[in-house]
Amino acid sequence: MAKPKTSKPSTKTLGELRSAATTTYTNYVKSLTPRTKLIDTFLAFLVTLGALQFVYVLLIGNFPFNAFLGGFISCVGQFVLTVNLRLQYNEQNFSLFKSTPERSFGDFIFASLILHFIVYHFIN
Amino acid sequence: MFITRLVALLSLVFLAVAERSLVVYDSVKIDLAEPPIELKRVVETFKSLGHEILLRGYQDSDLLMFVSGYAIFDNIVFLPTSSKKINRKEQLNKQNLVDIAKTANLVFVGDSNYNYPDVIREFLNEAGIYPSPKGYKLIDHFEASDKVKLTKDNIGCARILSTIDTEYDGQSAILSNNENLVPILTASKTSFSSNDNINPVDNENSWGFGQQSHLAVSLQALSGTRITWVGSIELLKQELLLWAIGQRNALKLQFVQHHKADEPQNLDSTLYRIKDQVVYTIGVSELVDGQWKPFVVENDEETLQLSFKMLDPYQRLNLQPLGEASSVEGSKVLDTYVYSVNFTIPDQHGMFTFELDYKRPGLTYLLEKQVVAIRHLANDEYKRSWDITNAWFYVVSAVLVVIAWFFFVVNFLYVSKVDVGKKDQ
Repeated sequence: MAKPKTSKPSTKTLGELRSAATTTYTNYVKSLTPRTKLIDTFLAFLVTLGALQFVYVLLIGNFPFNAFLGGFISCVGQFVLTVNLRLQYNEQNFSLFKSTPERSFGDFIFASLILHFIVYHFIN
Repeated sequence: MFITRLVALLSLVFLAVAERSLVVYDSVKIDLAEPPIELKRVVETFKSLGHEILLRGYQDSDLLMFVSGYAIFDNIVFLPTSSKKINRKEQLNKQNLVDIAKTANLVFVGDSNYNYPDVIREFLNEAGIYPSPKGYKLIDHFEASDKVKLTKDNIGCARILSTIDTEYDGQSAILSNNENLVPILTASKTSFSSNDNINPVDNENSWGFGQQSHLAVSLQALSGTRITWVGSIELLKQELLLWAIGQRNALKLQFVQHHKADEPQNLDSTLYRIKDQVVYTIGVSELVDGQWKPFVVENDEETLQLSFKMLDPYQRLNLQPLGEASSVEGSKVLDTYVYSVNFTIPDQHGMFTFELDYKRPGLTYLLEKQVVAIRHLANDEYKRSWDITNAWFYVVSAVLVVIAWFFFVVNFLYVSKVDVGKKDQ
């Protein structure tokens, strides 16, 4: 039949998009090690909590602004640090970094401690 | 000369309590043995008040107002004079009048048939009062007679004159825009001032038209004294004279206090904090029959107001009446009325002024300024986050992140071990 050839370009694009997404997702799941899985779960938690705080500040108002900043920044900061950790733990990136994964995990703990120390002071 | 000074000085010492009043009159026309009824009335009024009263002519050589640079009278009345001559110019000159007006009430009486000595006319002009020249009188062709009938409609300030019912034959004055001038009596709409009763009026023979002209006017000085001008001695009846010499509608601020609402023992502090609750209290008395009595605000127009200013008023508040009180501690005489306001200092630090600026026509002015410093919150005076319910969510979030982070770290170590185990297999 000639009809499938004349199918709408938009449907075609959508189908391609869907297949691209599926491929990406499968690849992502395949590439998951237990460590990266754990990291991603943690990241998802941080994003959810940050979004919740943002909605809260929009609804309730920003009166204790330092408290909002403290809570929000602790999420964002922890997110950034964890993403860094994930980058350094990716086997494909080992050649990019001079440090060993163990060293980067130590850095991560140290940086997180400093972050939370500052956040608690700031939140007052 | 020396003896008169000595006498004046001595009497100043002996009569320090009683007020001293001077009446300057036309010694050429008036014989004190047979004084005209108006002069008698003025003298009687002063005597009934217990004032020490002196009468001097404009040309008298013992006309004395200043001794060693001090004005020695509390009230001076200048009656009309047929002669412009003044013998003692070093006593009666414009500069002296200006100085005297700071501490003494001055009353000037006009007469359409007489001129003023130059000193007095210049002084009145400086005060913003321009009386018509000699020979000019108030005319109203709507009147039956030569005189102009004055009624209640002519009263410019009801506090000063409650009623008037007289046939007026006298001068008028036009005024400058001096905001301290209080018109007491204003001419009617159909009247004008002229020295020519028959020919049409023009610029040459007229002085003021309609309500532009005033028949009695007063300048309320910032120092609390009054400079009053009347166009005819008929107007100088008791009610007006008492007002003009500060015996009526004179106000006095007995005390001014402010304190933090929760620290009444710490009076008149010069330092407050933003958002402090502050109470500002004043006591106001009014002079009635020679005695200080509580001054009661009767309508909205009279309300006393406090401005809390730093360049601009940040707060402008009506003072609420509290009740009668005594201005002297321990005394049982209720001589003052207390007004108070309780307000929150604005959220702005800096140098602020508690300002009471009370200026109502017919009443003496009350002016009071007190500067205080307003500080901002100290570092340890802010609320902690856990005291603010809104912040609880953020605090919990931050705690949650740390707990989650801790579990993440522990799990991460554990998981990596599992990883290693898998590789080994």
